Amino acid sequence: MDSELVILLTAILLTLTSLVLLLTYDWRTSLVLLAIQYIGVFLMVMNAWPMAMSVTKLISGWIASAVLGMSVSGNPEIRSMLNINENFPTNENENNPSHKDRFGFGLAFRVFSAVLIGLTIASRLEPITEWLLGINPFYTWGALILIGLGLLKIGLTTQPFHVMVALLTALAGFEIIYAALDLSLVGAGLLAGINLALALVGAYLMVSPTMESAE
Amino acid sequence: MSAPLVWIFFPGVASILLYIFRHWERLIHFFGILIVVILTLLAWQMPIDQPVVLGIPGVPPLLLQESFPIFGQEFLITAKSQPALVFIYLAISMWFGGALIAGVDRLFIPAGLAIAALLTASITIQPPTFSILLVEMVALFCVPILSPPGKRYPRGILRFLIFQTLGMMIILLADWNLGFSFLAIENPSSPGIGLALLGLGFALIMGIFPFHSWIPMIAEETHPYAAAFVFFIYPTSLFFLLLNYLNTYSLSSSAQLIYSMVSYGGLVMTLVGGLWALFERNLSRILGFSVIAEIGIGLLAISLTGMVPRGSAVTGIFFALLFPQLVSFAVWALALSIIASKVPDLSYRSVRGIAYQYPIATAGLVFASFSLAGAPFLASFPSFFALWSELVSIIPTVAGMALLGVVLLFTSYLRVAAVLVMSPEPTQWQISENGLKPVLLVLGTIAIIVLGNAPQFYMELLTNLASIFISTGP
Repeated sequence: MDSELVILLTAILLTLTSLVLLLTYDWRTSLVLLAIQYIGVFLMVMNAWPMAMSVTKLISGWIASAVLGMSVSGNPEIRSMLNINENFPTNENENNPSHKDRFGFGLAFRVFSAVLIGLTIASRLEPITEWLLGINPFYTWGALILIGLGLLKIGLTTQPFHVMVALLTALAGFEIIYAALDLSLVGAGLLAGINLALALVGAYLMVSPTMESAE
Repeated sequence: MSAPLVWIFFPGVASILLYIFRHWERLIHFFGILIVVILTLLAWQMPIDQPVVLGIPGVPPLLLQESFPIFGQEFLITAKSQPALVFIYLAISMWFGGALIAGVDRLFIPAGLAIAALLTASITIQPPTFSILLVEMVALFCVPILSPPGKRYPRGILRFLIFQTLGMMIILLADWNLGFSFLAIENPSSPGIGLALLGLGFALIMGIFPFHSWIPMIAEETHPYAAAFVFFIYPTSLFFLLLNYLNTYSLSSSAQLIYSMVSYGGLVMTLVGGLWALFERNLSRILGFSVIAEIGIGLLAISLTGMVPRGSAVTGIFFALLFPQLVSFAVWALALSIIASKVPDLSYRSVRGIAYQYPIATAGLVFASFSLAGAPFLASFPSFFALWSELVSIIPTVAGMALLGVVLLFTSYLRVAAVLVMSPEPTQWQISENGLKPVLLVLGTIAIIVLGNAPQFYMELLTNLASIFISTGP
């Protein structure tokens, strides 16, 4: 398939996954979307890197998703906390199960914010693409939308699980851009290590309150 | 064998082993201290790239090679970088020395050892582009120290992680852009965007105003000793990283602008730290604001390195600040840990008059805090005196305003001292500290006084660190 078309289709895939990741607070859906998102990252990075190196993004991303998933699925307390918060996960109402987003204002706000971010990226896509030495605009779009929507999600939650998912999303966007600028193996390895370490830290923060200090 | 194997990979593997044996708390503390002390002694005495005859028949001479290649890059430890290794491992061994007494969690030792290995890796990786990735790893290893098992994580920790990760991304992008701007021969572009990104990235990771909020939040909800350890080690690794970048771009046409940005960053941090500390009514949050002010003072000292001729003794002032800061923070943290274990919280209301029951801890806390503010005859005074003398002659406006921040900080420490001795009812003096705690506190307090009165014994050693991070020629 033509690489331009692959980039275009992957950019659409990344836009959809990051948008639904922003809108949903169900942990299972988030993890599945995160895993699909890393397929998109892999397809994007394959345009800049050799296949063998690009696979590191996919594998490290999937392992990071699996680490987060295992920490939630193996702990009923975390699951119940995530289920309570999924309907209206803002700072003020995070621990208040009675507070539901009955009128869908929260959802509308997130959609509206995502549209604003999309418009901002679209308006600045050309100069940014030029600044990044003329890489494909759809490639840049795919990266920036992950960064933008990831950052937006970070600002809308204080749950370690969702913060980590959002941080991994933003980092994935950055990795797409950085892959076009740097081809070193050490850089790729260290970034993969940071993906894994972030997921481990996220899992640790979720699990640590339930661990015994004396073990 | 290569030197990076000794100071990077060996402590890394040792940290994994200590984590596996974490159930034996005293054992891992003992081995943790033993390992870092041995590594300190090796960094001090072991020659690099020169054969060492062990004197055992049949055993060939030991040769530590400088380089360890890895996927096209390398870790490079030369004889010139050995003083930095001595400082890193000495600092870690001092923190480990008081850890068991302070009552930190058992993950402190393995995580601390991993941090030492990563910090060494970050200053020795060549080319230094990927230092920031290793510093991000240091930040991630700080998490189990700040948020031990069995407790809810401190509110500021997610913010800390977010700022560190975003800062890392921005600095990597800035590094690429600056390298491209400065190295492009045919069509060099303006480095303006790259410099702005670099400034933003460092503001995020160093907690420069307005990205400082995680520091007092973490200080309030974390064990004081663990928090002080992270607040000393992590900014130190960031300072080394910043020095690396400044050294790389110091010969560019934008060098003066870069150093001005650093000095203004330092000014803002000193003022913010001093002002907030003055109005704060919680001892652990005051520790946080003190850290903010100390980061500011460090930035001011670093800004001087670009405003004086290369090779001048003034470039060493930043490094002269490090050891007194280390001792003062360690004593403060130990004293605060003792007080924190006896009161429900560290608000002024709870600690009022506690000096009558814990006079040694109180004295340690007061001496350490006064030392951090640069009070005469205490540890930081000689380097503070040199810093302010130079700042006043080079950038008098910035120096004057930054001094105001230090005065505010000092005033807040005076207020703390007053609260600690202000008992609501008549009380008899008694020494309630027991075990090794008073011994360590007294030794630490004596060290603070000795360092302040005999700087000639250590000052040259510390200022020599400048030659590692600041090149003397183009």
